[in-house]
Amino acid sequence: MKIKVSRTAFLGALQKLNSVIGTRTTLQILSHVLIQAAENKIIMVTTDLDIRIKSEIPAEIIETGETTVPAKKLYEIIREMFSDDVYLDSDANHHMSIQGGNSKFKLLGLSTEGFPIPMPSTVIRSFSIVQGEFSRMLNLINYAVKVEEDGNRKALTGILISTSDNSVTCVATDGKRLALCEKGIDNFTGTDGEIVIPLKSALEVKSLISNKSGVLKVEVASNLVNFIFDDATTMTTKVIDEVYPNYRQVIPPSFSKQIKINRGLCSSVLSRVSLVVTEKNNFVKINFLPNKLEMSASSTEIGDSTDYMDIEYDGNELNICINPIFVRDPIQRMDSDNFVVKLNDGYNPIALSDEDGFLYVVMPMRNR
Amino acid sequence: MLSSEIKKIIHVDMDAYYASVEQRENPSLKGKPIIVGGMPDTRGVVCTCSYEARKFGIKSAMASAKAYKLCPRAVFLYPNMKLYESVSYQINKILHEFTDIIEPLSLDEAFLDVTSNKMEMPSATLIAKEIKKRILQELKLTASAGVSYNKFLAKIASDMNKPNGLTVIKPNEAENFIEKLPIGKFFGIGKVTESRLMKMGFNTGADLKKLDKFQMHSLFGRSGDFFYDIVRGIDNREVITNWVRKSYGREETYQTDLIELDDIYIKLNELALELSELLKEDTIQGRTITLKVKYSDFVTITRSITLNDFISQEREEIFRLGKNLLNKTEAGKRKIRLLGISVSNFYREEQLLFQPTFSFD
Repeated sequence: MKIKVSRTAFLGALQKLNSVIGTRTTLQILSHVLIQAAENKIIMVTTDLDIRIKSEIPAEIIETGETTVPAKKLYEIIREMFSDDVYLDSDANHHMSIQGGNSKFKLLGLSTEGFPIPMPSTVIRSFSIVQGEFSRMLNLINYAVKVEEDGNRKALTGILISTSDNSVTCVATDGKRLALCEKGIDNFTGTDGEIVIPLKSALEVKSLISNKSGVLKVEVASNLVNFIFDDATTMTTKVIDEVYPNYRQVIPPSFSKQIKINRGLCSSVLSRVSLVVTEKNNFVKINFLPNKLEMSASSTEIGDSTDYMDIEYDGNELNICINPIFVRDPIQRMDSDNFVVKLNDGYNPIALSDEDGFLYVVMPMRNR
Repeated sequence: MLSSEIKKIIHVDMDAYYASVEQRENPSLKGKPIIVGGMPDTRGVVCTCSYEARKFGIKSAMASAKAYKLCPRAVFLYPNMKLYESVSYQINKILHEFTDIIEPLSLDEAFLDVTSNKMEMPSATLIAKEIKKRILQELKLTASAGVSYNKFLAKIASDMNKPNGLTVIKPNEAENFIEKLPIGKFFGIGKVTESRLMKMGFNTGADLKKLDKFQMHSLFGRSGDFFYDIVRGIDNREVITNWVRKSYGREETYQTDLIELDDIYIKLNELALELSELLKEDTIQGRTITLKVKYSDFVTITRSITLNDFISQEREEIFRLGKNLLNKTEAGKRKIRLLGISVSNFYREEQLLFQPTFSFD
């Protein structure tokens, strides 16, 4: 295998590929990048067995062939070189020479035989969405995923991607709060349905997005999901093979009160009041008063705090107690100037929403 | 007082609850003296006894052995708490049809605030009648109810015409009523206090009413203000729906009296372990620890200490503090019949909040 490739394009691809390379892998081959020289392009693949990233870049192929070399080391070498082009030459023993400018390296690779092959799959649905939109959706919900792995409800440790009626809904919940974002999609094919991907994979998709206005194609199979980026990068993830709970049932069917809140103001009032909150007293009291939103907190160790902001509200006085972290997260992640609080009383779930498909539901804290 | 400020409170108290449930479940027990509680050959006590048993002078909290002497043909039954709890749940369901402002005091009694109620019935007396009727029809049990404008009077009223009674104390009758009330009937005045007060010449509410606030304090300590108010028919305590447990404790009456200090420590350690588990189960911590000791002559004393910080939930710490309190008793010198240890003084009510979770199918 003999290749001449642009150093910057090669480096860019290697950077993306390196994100699934762990520092401690039991299988040596998993620390390697598979390099295949085909017609006018090189195809590179890395995997940690859960996620598989494939990247293609144009190159001058002098001699076709394939090999695997340590991915981190290759990335470091290419990063430190300064020539415009890089020459790769791999022999039958998988010793790869790397040349550019005055530098010359030889990397000891491994046969491609041991490199994991892609899982067989059949795509059952596919759709396209603007990359920036999908990134925003994930950003609005990913903090609500259940983090502890206690063996129960494994589906909650992942993110649900559900399609219906030409829209996609991404959902995350840890059983105490639920974040959901809904968006229109294009080029839908196949049948509507749901799939759960690990949080790690969702974060990987986010980090692979480099062109916010570019299109992301999502292909769903029963055992995996392909995310195809417009820069010839494809990320494939295993799915969490467990049914996601019926999340719709925790969203109250209607709300008697809907109150518009200035996001920036609310965020700063909340963070000030939360200063006295401790692990033992992890709640903030939120009082909706006529045209006034009052927050207070207290703890036996530190003391107490109170603050308020003006709102437009003419209903009955309403009090709720809430874990401040559970409202801080969505308020910080939203990107609109205002949001709407929806509630019925102090006991049933309350919701926060923006006008762009985001809905967040949280259970207020209760008396024993 | 404006009429709109007058509350309508009902106190519902089931008649001889455990015994009545047992009689309902087993009709052959009807009309017989039934004693639910410890067996007569043990040192257990009577939890509840049927009205037939009361005719023999048997009362709750009496030693079962004594009850047996009073009425050897009485039927003794172990309490079936699961059953009483499930019946109590059914009673609660009926009560909730009238109002959600319910404060259960135990399995068999509760306060209801029916000032505004689900039935939109203006008469609390009619509601009380209806509740009694429903409980009788649906559960085949009788209840006594007291109706008044505060908790103190409602509770006293329910006790007036037991069993199957309904007593109403109207605001204009309250003063006269309280003045005639024997002091033993006042909330919080037990047998010991009662005899102490009677020796001092206080026999009725009218006698207590003569005292000023200062004298009340010297007589009742911290509860002085409360007694000053209630003898005047004032009791502003709300019916608290979310009842927050005030203390966690464990106690045990021993089959044989404890004499040796080493044996007492072993028993105290057992109680400390049980209490530790209780506290951990509900992830709760208090600042006050109380040791209760009942000597073989039934004289009961308590010793307690309040710390600046929360008491650890660990057995070792509970035992250590309990042992310190034991030093302030006559343990080892006087025979001990009962030992109890409890933790109270939790963080304020709202600090007991918990985070509920969604109930997915």
